Amino acid sequence: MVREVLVGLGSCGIAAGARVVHDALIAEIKAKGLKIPVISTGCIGACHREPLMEVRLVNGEHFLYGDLDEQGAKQVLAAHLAGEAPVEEHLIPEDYGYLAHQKKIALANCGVIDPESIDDYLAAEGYSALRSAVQEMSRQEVVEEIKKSGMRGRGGAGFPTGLKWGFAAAAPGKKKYLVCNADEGDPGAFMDRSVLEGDPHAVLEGMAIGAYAIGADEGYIYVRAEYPLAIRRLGIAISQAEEKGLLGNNILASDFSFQVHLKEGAGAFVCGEETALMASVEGKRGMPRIRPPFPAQRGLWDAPTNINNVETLANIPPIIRMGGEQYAQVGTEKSKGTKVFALAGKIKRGGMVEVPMGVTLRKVIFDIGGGILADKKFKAVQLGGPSGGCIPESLLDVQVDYDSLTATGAIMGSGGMVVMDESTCMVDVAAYFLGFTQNESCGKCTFCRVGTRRMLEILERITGGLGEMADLERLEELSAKIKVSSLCALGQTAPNPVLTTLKYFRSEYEEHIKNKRCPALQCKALIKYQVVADKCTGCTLCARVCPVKAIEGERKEIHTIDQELCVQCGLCFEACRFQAIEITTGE
Amino acid sequence: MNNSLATALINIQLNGRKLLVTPEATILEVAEEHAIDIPTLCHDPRLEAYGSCWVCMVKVEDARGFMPACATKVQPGMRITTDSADIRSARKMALELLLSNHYGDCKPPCTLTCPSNIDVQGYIGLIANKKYREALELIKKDNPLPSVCGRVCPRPCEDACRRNLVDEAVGIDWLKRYVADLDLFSDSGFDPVLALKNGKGVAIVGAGPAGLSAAYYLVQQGVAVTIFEAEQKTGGMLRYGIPDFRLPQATLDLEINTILRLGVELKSGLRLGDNLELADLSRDYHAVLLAMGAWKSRSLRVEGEKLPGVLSGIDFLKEIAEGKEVVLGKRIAVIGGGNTAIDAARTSLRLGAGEVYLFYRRTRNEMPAASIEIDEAIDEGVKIFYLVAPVSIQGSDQGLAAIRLIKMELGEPDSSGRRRPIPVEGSEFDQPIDNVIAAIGQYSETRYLENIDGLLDERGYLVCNEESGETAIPGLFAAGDLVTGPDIAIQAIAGGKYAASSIMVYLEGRNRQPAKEFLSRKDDFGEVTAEELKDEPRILREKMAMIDPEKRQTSFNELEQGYSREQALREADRCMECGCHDVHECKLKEQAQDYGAIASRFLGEIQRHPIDESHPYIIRDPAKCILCGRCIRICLEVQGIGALGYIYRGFKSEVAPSFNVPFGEDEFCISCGQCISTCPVGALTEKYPEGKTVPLEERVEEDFCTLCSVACALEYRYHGTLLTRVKERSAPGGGLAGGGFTGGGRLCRKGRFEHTFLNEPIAANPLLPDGREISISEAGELVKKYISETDKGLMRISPYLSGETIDLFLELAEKYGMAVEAAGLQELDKSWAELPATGGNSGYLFEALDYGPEERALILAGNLEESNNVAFTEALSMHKKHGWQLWGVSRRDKLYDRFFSRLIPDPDELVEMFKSEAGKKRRLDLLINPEEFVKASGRSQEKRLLGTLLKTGEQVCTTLFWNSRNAGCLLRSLAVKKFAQGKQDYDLLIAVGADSDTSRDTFQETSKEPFKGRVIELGRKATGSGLFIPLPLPLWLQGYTEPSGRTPFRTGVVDTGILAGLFKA
Repeated sequence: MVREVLVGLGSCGIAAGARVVHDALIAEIKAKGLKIPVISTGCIGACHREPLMEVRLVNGEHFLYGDLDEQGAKQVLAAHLAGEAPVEEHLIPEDYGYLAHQKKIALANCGVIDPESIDDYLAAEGYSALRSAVQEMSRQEVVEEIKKSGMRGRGGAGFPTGLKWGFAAAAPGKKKYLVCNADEGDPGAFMDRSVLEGDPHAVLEGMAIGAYAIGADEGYIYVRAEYPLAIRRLGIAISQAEEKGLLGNNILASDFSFQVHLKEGAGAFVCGEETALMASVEGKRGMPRIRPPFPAQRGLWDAPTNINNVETLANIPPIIRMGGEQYAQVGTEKSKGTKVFALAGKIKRGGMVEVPMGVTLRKVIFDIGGGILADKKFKAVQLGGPSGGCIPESLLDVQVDYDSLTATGAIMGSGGMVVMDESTCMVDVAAYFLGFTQNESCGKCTFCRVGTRRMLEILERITGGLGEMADLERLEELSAKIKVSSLCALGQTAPNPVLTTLKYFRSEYEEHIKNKRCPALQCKALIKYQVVADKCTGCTLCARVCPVKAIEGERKEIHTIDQELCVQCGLCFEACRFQAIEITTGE
Repeated sequence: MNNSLATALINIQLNGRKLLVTPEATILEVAEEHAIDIPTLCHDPRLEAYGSCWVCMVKVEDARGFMPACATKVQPGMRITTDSADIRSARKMALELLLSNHYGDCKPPCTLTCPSNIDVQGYIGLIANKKYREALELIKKDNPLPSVCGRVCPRPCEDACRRNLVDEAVGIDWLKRYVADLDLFSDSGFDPVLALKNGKGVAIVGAGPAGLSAAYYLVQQGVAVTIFEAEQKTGGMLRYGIPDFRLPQATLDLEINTILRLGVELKSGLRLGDNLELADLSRDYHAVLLAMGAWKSRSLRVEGEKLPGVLSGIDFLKEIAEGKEVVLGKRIAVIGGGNTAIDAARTSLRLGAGEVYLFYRRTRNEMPAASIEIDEAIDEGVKIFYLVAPVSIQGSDQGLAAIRLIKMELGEPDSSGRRRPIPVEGSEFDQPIDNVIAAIGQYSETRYLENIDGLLDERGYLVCNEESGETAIPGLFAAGDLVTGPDIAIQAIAGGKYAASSIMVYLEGRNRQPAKEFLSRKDDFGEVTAEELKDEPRILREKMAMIDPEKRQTSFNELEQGYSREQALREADRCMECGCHDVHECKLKEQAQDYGAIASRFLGEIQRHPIDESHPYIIRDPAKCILCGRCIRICLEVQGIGALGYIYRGFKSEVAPSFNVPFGEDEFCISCGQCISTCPVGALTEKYPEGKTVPLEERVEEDFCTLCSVACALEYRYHGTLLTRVKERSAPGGGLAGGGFTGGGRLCRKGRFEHTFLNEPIAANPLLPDGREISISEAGELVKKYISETDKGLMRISPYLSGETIDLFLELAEKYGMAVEAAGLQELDKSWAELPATGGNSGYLFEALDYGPEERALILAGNLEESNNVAFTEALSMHKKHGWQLWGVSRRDKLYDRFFSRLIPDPDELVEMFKSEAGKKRRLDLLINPEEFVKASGRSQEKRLLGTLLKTGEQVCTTLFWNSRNAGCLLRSLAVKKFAQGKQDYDLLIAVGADSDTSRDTFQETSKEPFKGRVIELGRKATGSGLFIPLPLPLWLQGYTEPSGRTPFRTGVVDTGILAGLFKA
C-alpha cells in the first residue's frame, strides 16, 4: 500500500518538468478517488535524473524514480497501487553510485521532507537543537561545541566557525546582528539555493542558535532576488517558526529574542563579500571596505555582526544534536564534516552531492558522477567558481579538504565543481571566469577594476590569435599583483583561474600564441571549417543551414566553404550527416 | 580620540625604526609624522579612510598581501616597510593601470609640438583675461624673440592645434605677436629679473637666434655673456635670410636689444677660424657655445652653375639685407622649395623682375616652405612649377640664356619620409631666363673645427647631443642650425634655451638635468577625431590685416599689420584649452613621474567620456576620473550634500551627479567646489564665470575669506596680477589646514568662485558723489574742511576691510571727533552687538559636545545656508555626528529643506518656541545672520526676536553671522566704544540728523533719508553718497594673524602715505 508520494520541486525539478508530474499525480489519485498525499519536497539530489519522485509504502519500503514525465509517473503510481513490482525503467536503485557514495548531513532533509511544513521539520528532530541550546546550554557552551566540531565556513574561505562566533560573542555592544549570507553567485553553483528550497528551517534554526551564542537579537538573510522559490519558502518558514515561538520574542519562553528579516540582493556577485553585503543590507551601494575593523567589531550599522553562509548554518543543528565531537568524526584532521558540491559540466550524473571531507576528486567525479559524458577524455575540473582554479588529471587523487585543494592553486570555494573534457579550451575557460569577475568587480579598487580588465583583454587577444609570448609574463605579473593588492576576496582570487590554467595547461596557451592553434578547436579566430572532399555527397544540407551563405556547391557536387564569409558558427559541422565537415586549426 | 586612556602608546617598527605611536593612528599618519613619504591618490585627511587607489600600499610583516597605509591602523608590534623594490613595482603598476584609463592631455598639443614648448594655452589664457604683460612674460620664459617669431614662424603649433578638427587653428602666432609688439613698442618693456653675478663667463659664437636665446637665459642666471659675431650686425639668418617685408630690420633690432640691454657683451666682426680662435675662447671662458648657423649653399651640381648670373639664395638675400645693390634681369628662375627659395622669389619680384619662376622637383605637398608663404608668393605673382629639376644652365654673351629642366615623377618614400622624385626620361625642356637663384639647401662651415678630436663625424658634421647641446668636449656646447642643419627660428631659439640650461648644469658642477617630465597624452590612445569635438561651436579665425597686394610687388614694407586688441581678445577666446587645468597640481602626474610609470604599458579599452561643462562653476571631465571616490565622499561626509555618486560597476564604473543628469542640472549641488578641492587629478576643475580659467604657475597668498564672517582660511592663487583661483588653505608642508582654522578645510561657492572682483581694477583716485575724480591732495583738503567744522561729518567704513585697517580708521575718527558708521549695516538694530555670544567676528563653536541627540537643537535663521554656507555645512555635520536636530527659520531656497527636521516659516513662531522649547531641550543654539534676517522678515520681527534673545538664559546660545568678514568686529568696536565711554560720536549705526541721544528703542521701521553731506566712504566701490576714498587691495585683504607660519604676500601695513595725504591735520 502506498503511504505517500514525494515529488522533488526544487528549482531544478521544476525546470525539468516536475510540476507537471506533481499535478498529474494529484489528478490521477483524485480521479481514482484515493487519498494518498502527494508531497512536494526540495531537491532530491540526482538532478541529472529529474523529474524525480519517491514512492513510500506503508511497510516502510521506498522507491526512487527518475527521468519521469506525466506518463511515466502514472505508470509508476499504477504499478505500486496494483502492488506490482517497481517499474525498472525509471527506478533508481539503492546502490546507484550517485547516491551510495554520499553522506548527508546538511542535506539530510532535502528531498525528504516538505520544506513548507514546519511539522515535517519538527518530526525530523527539527528545532530540538535550538531547544537544547537555549534551555540547557550557556552561550559559551554553544560556542565551545561548535569549536569542538571543527566546523569551517562553507562559503569558501574556510574560517573556523566557532572562532568567528567567539569573536562576535566577545565584542562589546548591546546590539548585535547575525547575518545569513545566501548571495550565492558562482556560475554553476546551486548548493545554497537547494538547501534554502529544500530545508529552510534548518537554516533558520542554525541562525537562531548562532544568534543565541553571540548575543544577537536581530538577523538578516541576504538572499539573491533571483531565487524566488527560496525566498518564498524562507518567508513561509519564518512565519511558521514565529508562530510556534521558535523565532521572535522570548523564544521557547526564554529571555532570548531573535527577529529574522529577509533582504533581497540585486544580484551583484561582490555582495557575497561580507563588508559589501553589509553595505547592501544598509541600503548603500554594495562595495567592500577595508578590514579591519572586522564585522565582529564593526558590522551592520556599526554593531558587532556575525556572518555565516547557508550551508554552514544548515550544519549547526546537526552539530548541536550529535555533539561537536561526534561531528568531528567525519572528515579529515583539519577539515571536518561534509561538503556539498554542485556537480556540473561534461559529466554523466550531475547534481547536488554531499560527501565527507577527505574523499578524492576522482571518487566524486567517477564514482558519484559516473565519469565523463560520451566517455570522452577528462581534461580538468574547475573548483570554487571564478575564485577557484582548474585541476588537471594528474591531481585527481587529491583529497577534498580545504588545505589540499588550496595547495593545488584552486580552492574549496562554496562548492561549484565543473568537469571539463578534451573539447574544452583552457584559455577560453580562463577568459570565461575572468570575464565573470571582471564584470562583477564593484569598481572600487584599482587592481580589480582595471587590472582584471587588462588581463581579460590579453586573454581575448590570445584566443583571438593576436597573442604574443610576452603576454604570458604580463598575465603572470598582473595576476601576482592583483592577488596581493586588491581590497576584497573578489579581486584577490580573480586571477586564480588564469594562474592555474597557466600552471597546468601552459602548452595550450603557447599553442595559441606560437602556432595560432586552439587544440580544443574552440577559439573561433583560430579554427576553420572545411569540407572533406571525399566524404561530401553534395547533399546541400550544410549550405542550407549556413546563416551567412558561406557554403557553395551544386547538388551532388562537392561543396566549398568561403573562409572570408564563414563565422565559425559550427552549424554545418553539426548538420552534416557524412562527417564531411572537418575543423582544422593552425596555419 | 578618546580622551582618557587612549594615550597609552604602542610599539611598532617602521622601516626598521622602533617607534612609540598612538594606537588609533593609521600607518599613513604615522609615516607622515616621521617624514616618510607614502604616495596616495584616494586619501584626503578630511575624509574617512577608503582604500581604493592602492598606491599607498605598504608591507606589514605576516599580513596577507600588501596593506593600504591610508586605511590600516597601527597595531602593537606591527612591523611595516614603506619602500622596497616590490612595493615600488606594485605602486608603479597601480599608477599604470590608472593611467591606462585616464584619457587626457597634461599639456596641449600646441605646447608639445613647439620646439621650445612655449606655454601656449597659458599665454592665450592670459590674453583672454586681458593680462597682456603676464602673457608676454610667460612667452619669454621659453622664447626671448616673440616679436620675431610672431612674424616669421611657420607655426608647427597651429598645425597641431585641435581646433583644426573644428574649424581653423587658433591664431597662436599672431596672438604672440600682439602681446610681444605691445611690449616691444612700449616705453617700459619687460626685463626679466637677473640673478646676482656668479663669476662665470660664457662665450657664444654667433648672434643669431640660437646664440641670442642662450645669452638671454644665461645672463638671467648670473653668467657674464659675451657674444662673438662674424658679421657687422646681429641677428644671423633672421636679418640676412629673411626679407624686410616679412621681418623689418628695425623690429629685429628692437627685439635683439631687449636681450643685449640685460648686460650681454657683443663683439662684432670676429669670425671663428679667421680672426677668432676657439682655443682662446676655451681658455678665457668657463664654457663656450657654438651657434654659427648654416650659411653654405648646397651646389646644384649641374653644368653651368658657375656662370655669372647664377646666385645662391642665401647670398642673394644677405646682400639685399645689407643694402647692397643687386642687379637682376627680367626673368628669374629660383630653384628649391624651402623658405629661402620663396623669400628669394618674392624679393626678386620686388626688385623689379618681370617674371619669377620657382622650380621644385616634388609637389606642393612635399614643399618645406610654410604654406602661407607659398600662398602669398603666388598672390604676388611668383609662378611655381612642380615636379621639375634643373639639368643645365646655358650662358650667353649678356649673361644667362636658358635653363634646361627635366620633368620628374614621385617614387617610393625616401629616408626623409617624402616620396623620392625620379626623372622622366626624355622630358627635358628649356626655359629662357636671365638669372638663376639656387636655394636647394644650406649647411654649416666646420673646417675650423677639424683639428679638435671627436667634434666632427667623418662627413664633417658636428657631433652633438641635439637635446642638450653637449659636444664630446666638456665645456663646449653647440646650438642652432649648426646642430640641426637649416631649420626654423624657434628650433634654434629652443636649442639656445636648452643649451643654456645644460651650460648651467655644467657650470654648477651638477650631475645631470632633472628627469624628463611625465606627460599623459591622448595621442597615446589613438588619434583624436573630429567626432570628439563635434559639440564645439564653430567660430572663424580672426583675419590678419595686410597691405594691399598691388603695393606688395614694389614695397619692402611689412605685409602683416598685426591684430587689434578686440581681434586678439576674440581670437584668444577661441582656444579650447586642451591642456589639463590641473597640470601643476595633479597627484597622478606627480606620482607617475616619481615612479617612472609608463602611461601606455597597459593599453586596452579606454573610456572616452565627453567633458561636462554644464555646471556654472565646475568642469567635469570624467575621462580623466580615476574613480578614487574622493569627490563623492567629501560631498557626503564633509558637506552632507551627496550630490555625486557611482553608477555602473567594474571597469564601466563612473562618478556621476545624482540621477546621472548633467552636472549643471544636479538639484542637490550647492556649488561649494569641495569636490574640486579634493580631486587628485583634473577630473573636476574650476570654471570661473568671467575670462578663461588657465592652468598657470601660481603664487599663493594666504588669507581669510572676506565674503562672510565665517572667514574661512583660504589661499588666493595669483599669476602676476591675475587672481587665478581661490582654494581652501593647505597646511604648511602639505595636507590641508583643517581643524585649526575656521572652516576646517571647507569653502563655499562665494569663497571659491565669487572673488573674481579682485581682478577688477580699483579706482585710482578719490571720487566725488557726482563721479568726478580728484587728487589725493584735493581729497585731503576736503577732509580737512570736514573735520574743522562743527558738524564734522561721518566716516563710513566698509566691513570688508581688514581688522587692522578698521581699527586704524576708528582711531583717526576718534582723534578728529568724527562719527562712524558701518557701511551697509545702517538699517540694523544696534542691539545685535550686545548679544553675549557675539564673541568675535567669526568664532562660532559647537562646544559642549556631550549633549545627547535629544538634548540639543541647532536653529539656523537668516538664510544662513546661502549667506554663510560653511556654518551651515558644519552644523549639518554636527547633526550627523551627534544627532542634534536641525531646525530652519525663514529660509528661501527649497534646496535645503530636506536637511531640516523642522521648518519654522514664521519668525514669530521662533520667539514662541524659545519660551516653550527651551524647557524641553538642554540647549538651543541659534545661528543667525541678522542682515539677512532683517531683509527677509522685516524690522518688527527683528525687534521681537532681539527682545526675546536678550532675555533668554544660558539655554539659548546665539551666534551671529554676517555678510562680510568684519561686520561683527566693526559693530562690536563701535558698541564697546559707545558703551564704555558713553561717547555719542561713536554711536553705533548713527543716522545723521537723528538725535544722538536716541535710545535704541526709537529706531524706526522707515529708513532714514540718506546722508548727503559730509560722508567719507572708505572701501572698494563708491556708492555716490559722499567723498569716496578707494583703498588698495592690501587694506582689505589680510587678516589679523600670520596664518600658517608662511609669510603672507600682502603684509597688513596700511599705506601711511595715503593717510598722510588725507589726514594732514
